[in-house]
Amino acid sequence: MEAVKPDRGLGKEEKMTEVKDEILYQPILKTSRGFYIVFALLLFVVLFAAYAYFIQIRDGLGVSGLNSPIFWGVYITNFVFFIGVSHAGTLISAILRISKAEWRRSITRSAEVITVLVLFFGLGNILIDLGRIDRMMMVIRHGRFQSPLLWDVVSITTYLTASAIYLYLPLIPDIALLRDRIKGGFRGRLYQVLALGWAGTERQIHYLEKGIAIMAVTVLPIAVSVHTVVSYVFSMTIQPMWHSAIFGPYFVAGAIFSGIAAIIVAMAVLRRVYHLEGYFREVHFNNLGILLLVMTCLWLYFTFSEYLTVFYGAEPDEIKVFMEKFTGKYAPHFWFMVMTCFIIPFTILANSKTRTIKGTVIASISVNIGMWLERYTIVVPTLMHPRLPYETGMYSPTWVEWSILAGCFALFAMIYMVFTKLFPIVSIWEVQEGREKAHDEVAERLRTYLPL
Amino acid sequence: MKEVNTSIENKVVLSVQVFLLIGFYIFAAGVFTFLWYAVYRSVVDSDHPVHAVILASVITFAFLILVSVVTMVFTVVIKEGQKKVSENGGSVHEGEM
Repeated sequence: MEAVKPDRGLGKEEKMTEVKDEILYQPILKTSRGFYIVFALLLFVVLFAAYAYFIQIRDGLGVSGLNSPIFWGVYITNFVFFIGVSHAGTLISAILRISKAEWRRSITRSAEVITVLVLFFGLGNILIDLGRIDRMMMVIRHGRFQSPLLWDVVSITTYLTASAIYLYLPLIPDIALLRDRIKGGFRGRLYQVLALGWAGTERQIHYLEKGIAIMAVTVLPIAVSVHTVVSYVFSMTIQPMWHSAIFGPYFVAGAIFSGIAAIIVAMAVLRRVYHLEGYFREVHFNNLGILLLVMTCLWLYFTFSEYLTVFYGAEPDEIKVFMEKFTGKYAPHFWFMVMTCFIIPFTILANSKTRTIKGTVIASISVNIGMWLERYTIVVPTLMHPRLPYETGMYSPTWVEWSILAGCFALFAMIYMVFTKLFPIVSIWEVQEGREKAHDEVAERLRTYLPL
Repeated sequence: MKEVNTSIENKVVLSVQVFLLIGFYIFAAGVFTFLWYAVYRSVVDSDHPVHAVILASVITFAFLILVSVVTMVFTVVIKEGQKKVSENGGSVHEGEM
C-alpha cells in the first residue's frame, strides 16, 4: 500500500504510475452521452417494473402466477439466484487475497461491488414475494430460531454487513486519491468524509491492512453459511427433491459458479465501455475461465449425484417431480439448463483456443441463464407435486413477475453504473502496490516453495 | 478567515465521520437486540431455548468481529488524519493550505 504516499510528494517514478493509471480516473471525471442514453433506457425498464410492483401492491399477489400449491415462483428463484451471484465478489476476492494471487489486483473491486448490490436484490425479492411488505415485521417481532427462514434473515444481514465493510476498507486509499483531486461540491465533500482523513501514514497502512486481512478470513465462513442456509429453506422441509443432504454444498457450488460467471460478464462490459484493456487482460479472463470450467464440472457432478440418488430411490413422490423435470412440463427448462450450465461452457472453456475473452463471456452469459433456470427448476416442479395430497399445481409467471425480474437487472446495472461514476472500479492503490512489490514478493515466495 | 473556514469544515467532516461510526454501532445494537429478544422469547415460551442461544451466540460473535474491525480502522485512520491536519494546519498533506 506504499503507493499512497501523499506526504512526501510525487517522485519521478510515481508520476509515471499516476500517468499510467490516469485512465482509471476517467470514468469519474468524464461522463459520455452514451452513459446517459443507457441510463435512461434502464430507468425506463425500472419505472415499468415499479408500475408492475404498484399493481401487485394494489391488487395483491393474485396478479402474479402464484397460487396454491405453487406459492413460490419467479421471486424466490430471483432470491436464490441473486444470493448465489453475490458469492462473486466477497468469496472469490477473499480467496484470491488470502492465497496472494497477484492477478486478482485489478478485478477484486468490480467483483466486491457485485456482491453488495445483488444482496439487496435478493432481499428485495423476498419482500416482493411477501406481497404485503409490512409482514416483514412479523419476522422481527415473532421470529423463531427453529425456522430456517430466520437463519436466512440473520445470515444474510451478517453477510451484507461484512461485504459492505469488505468493499469499503480497500476503497479508503482510493477515496483519498479522489479527495486530493476533486475539491468542493457534493463529490468533494463525500470523498472528504469517506476518506476518513487518510494520509497514507505507516500506522494507517498497518491497521487498514490488518482490517482487510481479518475481513478476508471472516467473510469466507459467512459467505459459505449464507448459501448453505438458503438451501436449508428447501432441504429442511420433506418436500420431494428438496429434502436432500447435499443441497448445502450443491447450492454453495452453484453460487460460486454463477458468481464467477457474473464477474466475467461485468469485467467484459467495463473493459469495453471504459477502455480498461490494460487492467482486465486476457490472462484474467483465462484464469477465471479455468475456474469456471472447474465449477462447470463440479456442478455436473453435484447435479448427477442428486438426480441419480432420486432415480434409484424411486420413491413415488420424488419420481413424480423427477419425471416432470426429465420428460414433463419442465423438461425444456431442465434440458436447456443442462445445455447452458454444462454443454456450452464446457465445450468453450475446455479448449484453450476457444477460451478467449469472447469465449469466456459467451460461456458466462450461458452459465448465468442456466443457473437462473436451475433455481427455477428446483423451486417450481416440487411445488407442482407436493408431498401432501394436493391436486397437481400449474404455474405460469405473469407480466408482473417478468417485469419485476427485468427491473431488478436494470436497477442493478444502473446502480453499478453510478458506482463507477463515484469510485474507481479498479483498485488503484492495489494495482500500484502490485507494480512496486509484486516482483519481490513473488521472488520471495518462489524461494520458499522451491529448493535453492 | 480562510483558516477559520478550514477549521470549521474539518470539524464538520470529523462530526460526520463520527456520526457514521455511531450509526454503525446503532445498527449493530439493533441486530443484537433482535437476536437476543428472539432468545428471550424462546426462553419465556420454553421454545427450544438452547437452540436459540447457540444460533444467537454464533451471529453475535460474527458481529462482534465486524464491530471490532470497523472500530479499529475508523479510530486509527481518523485519529491519524486529525494528527496530520493539525500538523499541516488544516490539510492532511503538507503545503496545501
